[in-house]
Amino acid sequence: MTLLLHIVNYFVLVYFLILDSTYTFLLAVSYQESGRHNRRVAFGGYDVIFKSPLTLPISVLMPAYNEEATIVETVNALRLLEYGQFEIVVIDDGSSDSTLAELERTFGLERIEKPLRLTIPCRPIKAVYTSRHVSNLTVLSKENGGKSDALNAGINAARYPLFCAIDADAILEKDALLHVVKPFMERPRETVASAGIVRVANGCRVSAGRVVSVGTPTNLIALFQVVEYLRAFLGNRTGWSRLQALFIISGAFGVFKKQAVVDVGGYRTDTVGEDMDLVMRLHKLLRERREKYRIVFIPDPVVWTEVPESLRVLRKQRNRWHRGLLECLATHRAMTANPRYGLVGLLGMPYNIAFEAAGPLIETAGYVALVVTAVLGMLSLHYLLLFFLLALAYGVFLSVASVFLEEVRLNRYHKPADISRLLLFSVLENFGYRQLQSLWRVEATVDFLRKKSGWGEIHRKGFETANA
Amino acid sequence: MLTVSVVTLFGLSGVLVALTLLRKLWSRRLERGHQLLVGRYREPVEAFVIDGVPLHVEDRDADRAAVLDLILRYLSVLKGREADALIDYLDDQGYIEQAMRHLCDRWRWRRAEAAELLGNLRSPKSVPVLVDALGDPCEDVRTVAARSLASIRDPAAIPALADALNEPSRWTLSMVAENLMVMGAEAVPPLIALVDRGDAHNACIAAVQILGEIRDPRAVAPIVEVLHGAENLNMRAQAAAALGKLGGAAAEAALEDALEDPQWQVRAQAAKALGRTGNPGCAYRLAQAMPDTSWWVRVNCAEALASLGEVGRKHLENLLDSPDRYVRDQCVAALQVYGYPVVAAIPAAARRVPSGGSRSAALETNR
Repeated sequence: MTLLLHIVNYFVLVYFLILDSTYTFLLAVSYQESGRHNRRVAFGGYDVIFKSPLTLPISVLMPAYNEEATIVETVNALRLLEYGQFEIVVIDDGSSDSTLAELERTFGLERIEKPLRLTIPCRPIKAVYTSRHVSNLTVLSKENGGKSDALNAGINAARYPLFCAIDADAILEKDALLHVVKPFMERPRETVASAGIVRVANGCRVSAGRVVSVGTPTNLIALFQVVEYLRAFLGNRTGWSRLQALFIISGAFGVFKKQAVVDVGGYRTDTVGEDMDLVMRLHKLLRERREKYRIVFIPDPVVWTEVPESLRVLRKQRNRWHRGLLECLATHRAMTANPRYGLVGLLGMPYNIAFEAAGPLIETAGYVALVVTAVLGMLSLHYLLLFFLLALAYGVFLSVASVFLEEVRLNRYHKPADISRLLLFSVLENFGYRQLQSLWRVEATVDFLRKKSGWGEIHRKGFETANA
Repeated sequence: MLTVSVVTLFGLSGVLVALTLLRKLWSRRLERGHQLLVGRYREPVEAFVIDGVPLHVEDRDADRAAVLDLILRYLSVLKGREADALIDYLDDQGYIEQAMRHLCDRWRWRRAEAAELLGNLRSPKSVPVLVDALGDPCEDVRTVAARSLASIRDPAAIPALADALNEPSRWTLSMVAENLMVMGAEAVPPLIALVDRGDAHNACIAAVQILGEIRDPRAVAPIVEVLHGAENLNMRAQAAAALGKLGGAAAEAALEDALEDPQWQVRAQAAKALGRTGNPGCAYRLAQAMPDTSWWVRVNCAEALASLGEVGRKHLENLLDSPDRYVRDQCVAALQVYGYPVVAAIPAAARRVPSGGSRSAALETNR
């Protein structure tokens, strides 16, 4: 028993050591990359490109399921995007509320008998609508089939060779499309997908579908998530993108080359991690075809999204995310440590398996072993300090460093009070919030093994209400 | 040792916290100071521009930066004598010489900054160095140089800009193209020369597109040549699109011929372009082209017909009797999108096939 405890304890320490080193490496790469990107943005000439007829046209696809609270505002915000040629395709995925009615009432929708070229199978499309008031708006009404199915329907209806998938509760910054399409224009042949950063809209002032003033939320759970998003997007994905091994593009905001997505068969409808799965399948196909390609994350095109403000809803969301990750890793396990798939197979997959999938189990086992060792009176100060150093002190350092990265590179939070709050919560999240996340992810692992599926419902408050 | 490590790590986190906060406060302070200086120099700069009162600036970096910032703001809106006075002032102060020197710096961001500043200063004497910068190894410098040349609008830069259309990055290419469009008719001869040479596909495609945007009738003949003679499919398709914007009898005749092109991409562009000409005389050929084997050609033909007004509508209604249900479906969709009263116009034959059936058939055949 004693030997077993020692083995578990020291295994956990070694695990934390490797995890912390990996995160530090990614953070360093992200720091360097975001600095380079910032300089490039300054010389980008976006104002000129915005007017250019040579800008690549793009279809913005927005699946909507029971989004009556935010749908009109989101579409209005999309209409004001600063971009040359684009169309908006809203896919009402069989909503049971008045999502479609809201759209009909506001935008004067008219049903048309438009034949669609179904390059990807999807659930039956009941009707296609165009708007009397907004020439570039198309609305599809289809049978409920989930977000992936709705996106597949949207791809079938999209006119242009690039499409941008966004969530219906998301608010794109007015120049976000220009920024996110830039990699496609710089390397038109190679770029197959690009993504921007997802930020937390709770606490921001929203007017007419635009974030007009950036602030931190007053809700503590949302505030923890702000730090979490910063760490995940700025400190992690920027680094993976630099290494050419980005394995996820958030479903909330990503641009894809339509043909590449059609070639992999569109979004999978039998998984809750469809966003990661799509990117992994793109990697797989393009590596197998031996094509030169890029999947890019850029830190400045921003989409704002409302995050859960209650533990119950957050738990559901994280459960779904973790099950999605596990499903995706199980599906693409053959890529693991396989040199054929480049750094995605050699680094990305092992990282995900060891730290993202198994991490919560090891971390929780570490805490349990620590308590058992203490109860049995075998806990040495040496071990306790080591554990504290690697599990908590390093975690605090990484979280604070992510906020530092935000301040130095992106500087979206202008008030010193906001930055102070973020710094405070970057310390606090390591004492309770992080452990809670691990527990939820262990729970999700159990659900995954028991083959539990489904998304769970998240009720939106709508931005105006949230910030009134 | 361990205790020291824990304390060090927490200490490091503490330092980062302090650095983050100090940086935030310091940058706010700097910004406030800069705005104060900008406010202080506003009147002297205005007096200099309007009345020619000599401008005295304290020999401090912050003061010089504030005045430069202020002058650049004025330069972005002023033209003529006032702008020249400001440019001369900056030239006297050595800003232009310094930026031209920095354009040869080994640090790429400094070169990009210099190119940007030269564009903002709009001094014609910086044109040769900016033209050289179009060949810079760094893409960002090339992009900024192209933009700056456009701000200066010196015709001497046009040949170099036309050559820069070979740029592999579509971003930089768009920047160059936008600038050439701004130059207008003056840019047409070098662009036509580029099209006539036809040796570089990307540059040629971009040149054709720009000529279409400039809409100078001199471009019709060389573009028709491209549409008829180019082997590259994208060049022909782009030529079709450009001819649609240029319009005129020669362009329309060439586009009608292009509806027979062996490649569907060219036929689809030709159909769209014919719709863009707005000439109802093209409706007959578009209607003839409707039963094409390609989806996009049918879509574009139907939409082009719908955009041609009453004549196009009549052709679409006639096509509702077509034995080809794909043609009928597209006609119905086009009529509805353009707000024509369709239900009354749809003959029984067209109504027999539910569109859901057509959709699944389209999936099967992808005709």
